[in-house]
Amino acid sequence: MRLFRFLVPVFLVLAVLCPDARAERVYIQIQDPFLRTIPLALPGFAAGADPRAAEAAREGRGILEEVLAVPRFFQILPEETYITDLAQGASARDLDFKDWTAIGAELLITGSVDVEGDILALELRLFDTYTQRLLAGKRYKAHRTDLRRIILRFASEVVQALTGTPGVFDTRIAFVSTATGNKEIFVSDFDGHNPVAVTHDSVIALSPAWSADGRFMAWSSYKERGPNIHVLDTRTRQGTVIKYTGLNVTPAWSPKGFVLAACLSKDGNPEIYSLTGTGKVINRLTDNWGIDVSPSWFPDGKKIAFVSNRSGGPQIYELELATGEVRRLTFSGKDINAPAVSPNGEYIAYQGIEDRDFDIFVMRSDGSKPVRLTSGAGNNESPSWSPDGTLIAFSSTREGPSRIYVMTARGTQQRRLLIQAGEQSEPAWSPNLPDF
Amino acid sequence: MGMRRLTFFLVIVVLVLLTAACGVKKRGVPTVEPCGVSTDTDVALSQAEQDRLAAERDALRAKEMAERDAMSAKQREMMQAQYRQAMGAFTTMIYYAFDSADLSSEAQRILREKADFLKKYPDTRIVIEGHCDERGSNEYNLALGERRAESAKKFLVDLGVASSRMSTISYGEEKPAAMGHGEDAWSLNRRSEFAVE
Repeated sequence: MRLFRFLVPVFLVLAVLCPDARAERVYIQIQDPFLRTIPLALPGFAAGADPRAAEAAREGRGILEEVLAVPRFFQILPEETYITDLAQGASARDLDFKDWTAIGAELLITGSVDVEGDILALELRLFDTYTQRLLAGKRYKAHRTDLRRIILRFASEVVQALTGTPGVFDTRIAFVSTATGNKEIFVSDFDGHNPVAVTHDSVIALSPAWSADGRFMAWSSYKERGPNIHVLDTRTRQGTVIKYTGLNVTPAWSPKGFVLAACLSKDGNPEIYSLTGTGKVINRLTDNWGIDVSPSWFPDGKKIAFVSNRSGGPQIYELELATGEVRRLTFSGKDINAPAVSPNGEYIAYQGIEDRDFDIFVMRSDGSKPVRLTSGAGNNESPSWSPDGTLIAFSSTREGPSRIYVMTARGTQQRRLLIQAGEQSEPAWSPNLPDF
Repeated sequence: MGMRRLTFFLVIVVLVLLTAACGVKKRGVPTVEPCGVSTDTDVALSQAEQDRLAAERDALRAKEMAERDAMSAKQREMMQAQYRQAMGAFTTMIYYAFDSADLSSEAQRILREKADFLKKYPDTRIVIEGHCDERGSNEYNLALGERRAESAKKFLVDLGVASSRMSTISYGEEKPAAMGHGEDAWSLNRRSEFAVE
């Protein structure tokens, strides 16, 4: 299992199956705070004569059902309510859409699978059952072992067709895990599948961060005494260590270019600096007697949100990079930490204490309208946005050990990401990865 | 007195006679004849005596050396014990209030003792580790731990300890001294640790 696959044309999309050109409307407004789930029918895939085709059909449908649950847009209708069995046909002319509207399905996904040797041929289609339009249709050919990747590609097509954005199926989540005894950096798929260790240093590694293009990762580690910032080029596997005297922590990649904001204490006090990806200091961004730490960039690259205790306990501030102007954003709650600016820059997720435990909050990025998203479920920390802004990954001790969970940006549908030995914390959601 | 003199005289006479006899025989008869006391035997005796004396001297010197060694070992041991004790005292931790790097008067008293230690042992280099309780984010606590270690270091610098002899490292909340999720554990975890490098 390789961690970073790239430039491997493992399968071909043979044809776009003529999606309806009129299907321009956005079915799902992902920014809509009152997003409803759309009822979707996902009948069994038709299979060719080869028994392996039937197996791949069953498995492929299962994977699609599982991954479509992740974006929380879909209410997948239970199979026992379906009036028809689509095992015989999958294209529009074989369909009677009334069979699907009758059970309340607004969307329908059909699939057919055939096997030639070790090569799978899949046709997958998404229909609007009311307008009877084909919204997405793809024919894939690939090696049998790439079934999951084909399904993920199609899931991206589905979400692209419905929301106008590619969704999360081509993303990963980095996190800190003690699965192997010490805090190491791990990366899993967006749905918790395939967790793989990135570090094997047997020290303490913390605060993973992805570059805007997904090519570079950074984290802090005590590998060389430290804590230092380690930068990894996932393409070349080359590493760099940023190692100034004192702290080198909380790296955050700029949305523009090979630039980091990070907290260093080389001048005697924890301050935020901008650095090149190779560790050369560009600017000192904060200058204050207190602690300044945990930067998070706004998507335009012109502002950062960060944590400072300049007025007492930790609170969230924003810094205008051009002017150096600093403004306090949070005023209610205590121990406010871990700001994460949403991908569109309109919100900031963070952790804070309102009652007794840490909870996740989201506020407008001007500091107004804080909303608490977790409560009464242990300590909830370190929010990280999915690149489409619809989901938030975070850590929680609700089941005892700290684990990673994912919820909608409104706090609904909180689900555990994965089960691993040890404890997991500090999730960092990757951008869309073109080479996924 | 008279007796002693007489004895001495008689011994001399006997020695002279014996010597004369041997001499005569040697000169007169070239063959070797056993002789009560030979001049060779005289030399051998004196060599043995010298060896014995030398051995005695050596033994004495060795004994003195051993005594001196024993003394200095004891002294060294004492000094080491003193150092160990000082070191033991030196590793005494200092503790902080929640979300604070301020030095309490107790912390300042302990740091003054540490400064004395560092002046007494000018070759020592030390590491100050800053730690936090589990509240707050891991990231914020890394910064807070650094501030704790730095505030202790600055205090020692103010007391005249060269800053080049001290380094700091923050472990934030990553290395708690006490497990548990209440103030009892937290108050033990908000600390700076001191170690001689």
